[in-house]
Amino acid sequence: MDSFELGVKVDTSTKEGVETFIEGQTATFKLFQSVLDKFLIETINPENMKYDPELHEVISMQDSDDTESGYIIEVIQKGYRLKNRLLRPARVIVSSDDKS
Amino acid sequence: MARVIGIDLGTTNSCVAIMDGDQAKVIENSEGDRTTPSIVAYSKDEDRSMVGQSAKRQAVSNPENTLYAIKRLIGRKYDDSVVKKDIDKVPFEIKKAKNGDAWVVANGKETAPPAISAEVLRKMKETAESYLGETVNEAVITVPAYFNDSQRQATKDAGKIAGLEVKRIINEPTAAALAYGLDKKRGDRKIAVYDLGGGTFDVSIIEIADVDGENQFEVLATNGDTFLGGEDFDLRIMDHLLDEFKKQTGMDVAKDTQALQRLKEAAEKAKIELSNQAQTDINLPYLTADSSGPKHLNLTLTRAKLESLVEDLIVQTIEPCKTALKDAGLGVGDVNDVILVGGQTRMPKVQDEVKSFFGVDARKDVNPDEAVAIGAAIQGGVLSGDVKDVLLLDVTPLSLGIETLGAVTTKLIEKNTTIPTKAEQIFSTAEDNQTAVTIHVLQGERERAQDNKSLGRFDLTDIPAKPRGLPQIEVAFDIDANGIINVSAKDKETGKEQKIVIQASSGLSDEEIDQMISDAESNAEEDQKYRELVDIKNQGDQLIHATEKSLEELGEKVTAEERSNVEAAIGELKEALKGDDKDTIETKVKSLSEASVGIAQKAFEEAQAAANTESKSDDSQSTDENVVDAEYEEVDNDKEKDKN
Repeated sequence: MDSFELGVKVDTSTKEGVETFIEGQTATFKLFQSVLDKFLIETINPENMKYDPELHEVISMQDSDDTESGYIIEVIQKGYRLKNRLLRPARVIVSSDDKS
Repeated sequence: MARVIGIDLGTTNSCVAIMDGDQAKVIENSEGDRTTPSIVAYSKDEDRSMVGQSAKRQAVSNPENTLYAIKRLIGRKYDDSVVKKDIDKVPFEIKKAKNGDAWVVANGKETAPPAISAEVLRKMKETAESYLGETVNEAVITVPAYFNDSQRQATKDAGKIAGLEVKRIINEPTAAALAYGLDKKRGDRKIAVYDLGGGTFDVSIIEIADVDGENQFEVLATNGDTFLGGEDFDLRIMDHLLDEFKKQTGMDVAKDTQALQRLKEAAEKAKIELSNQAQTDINLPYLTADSSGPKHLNLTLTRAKLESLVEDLIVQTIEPCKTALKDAGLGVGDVNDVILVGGQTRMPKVQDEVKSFFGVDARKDVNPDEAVAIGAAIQGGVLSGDVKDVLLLDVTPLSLGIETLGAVTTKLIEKNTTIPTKAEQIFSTAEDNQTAVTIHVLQGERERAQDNKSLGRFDLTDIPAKPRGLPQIEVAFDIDANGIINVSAKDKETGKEQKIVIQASSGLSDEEIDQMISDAESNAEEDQKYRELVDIKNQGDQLIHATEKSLEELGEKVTAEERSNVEAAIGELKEALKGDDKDTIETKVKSLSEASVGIAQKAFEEAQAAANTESKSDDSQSTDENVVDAEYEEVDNDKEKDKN
């Protein structure tokens, strides 16, 4: 949170400012990621994996020549879980079975 | 006494509660939610079922096998107007069964609604069991006050299929009143229960009487609308969003399922937010795209706008309130309390309308999503002896009678009569020397016999031949506390008696129910196996992920031998994970954990070293407590790794 607050204060009117800001954001993101890791919160990013209703929410179905039916074509939004407890399902587009 | 759990089997969501000491407690399901969507899905490729959130999540990919709002079908005939209306609304197939009941088709298999509801009940049962750590076999299940005998019986059947002995079916408004009633001061009072749920609206007028210091609950009247609920509110907002989007961008996304799904969620979220805020922003970036690039939806919805969109829906709920009051023989001023049930009643406008109609502030100190389940648990407590000083009286929703001369209905028990109840009346023959009479049991308010619902018929024969009007035939109705009706006819002269028990009207025979019970049990085993497989696969995935990460982070610190051993084990596990053989996966998981013990240890040491330097560098900002905290967490980490 501290880093986010500091980030907002950065002057982004200059090119250098923007660069500093992006740098700061990247570092903050890493910091946040390490907090998630520390608390064993795992990202669910099931690109190209088989669809599992326990972890993924289907947003839509699409035909795909490259992806087997029932597999995930695209992850719209990543999900998170804490050990076996699902915090938020990943939202995905799944390959449909009718091959046209 | 065995524990009796309380289940609110809702149209859109279900909820389970138990008595914990003298307090009712709602149990969270395995996903950590206090309510479970009443949705059951059958997957296409594997022969297994999903219930609740997981079924909801896959709905888009499998609409024809995702069954919801089954409560609208349970115990109804295919030709029922409610069923007819439902057929146009749902993506799954509704079929007419041999006995005329409405059944659903899932995975090409025709299934009775009680078997579907049983899946939901089983999930609720398991939820309670995993909390209590013991098997649960008995339950109180709630139903809308207007449910007739076949709907009640079908709900009981559903419980039986789920492995639950349904100790009592109680009315939802009664349960809600119970949830409020226990903490109340003594004294007679009349209560209106306004229940606006996800898919249905019900209003009931209840009387709580103080009888020698005991609270007596009685449903005086009930009314409602089976097709009016919070989801209709969502749809209104969604239509509004579609219109606005069209105005802003000129694009119509009404056919784009992905966009619609996002709009639906945004609509529900906005609705919920507007219960606490005066306005909310709806932002849906990249909703759709055309040749000129991506299109975003970006608009502000105010509470006033929302209210104007749904005003007529709210007004629609007032008419049933008037009817219910009239049926109860009361005026608006006679109602002491109004109870709000159902998530949609959180909307301030709904609360205002209810208040202005009944003239009293609505009570909302019990969570409106949970009140019914809590009441059911209290009733369960009464039945198991845990809760005393509450006596529950239910009423018959419709009048009961028999067909008499000229095909008219003669009522023996008027509607809204408190049950259990008994009624007797003497009838006679219509013709000279008539030796047999047919007792045709009817339910309903209409005069003509054919307009009412036929519950059953039987013949009383061998009546001595006499001029008409002389034989005395005593017809007795006896309704027990569960709403099961016993009808008997007795010739007073000969003492000959015939009777009928009306309860099998759910449309399912005992054999069919038994078949469904065994189907459900075998499904449970398969589900369990599948769950175990998924768990071990997840464990394998996590282990691979963690090990690969350690390998990468440690780099040169891992010896070549260690590395090749571990990589080989990872390769084998990955191969095993492609299949569905639980044992193989288990073995490979084990061998990888063994192979990676060394590097896990190193990774841990590294992490600890890093944590130490980190906390040192943080010292200027953080307190000592934080440092201790960090170390404590690392110890936890270690334990986790050991487990794996």
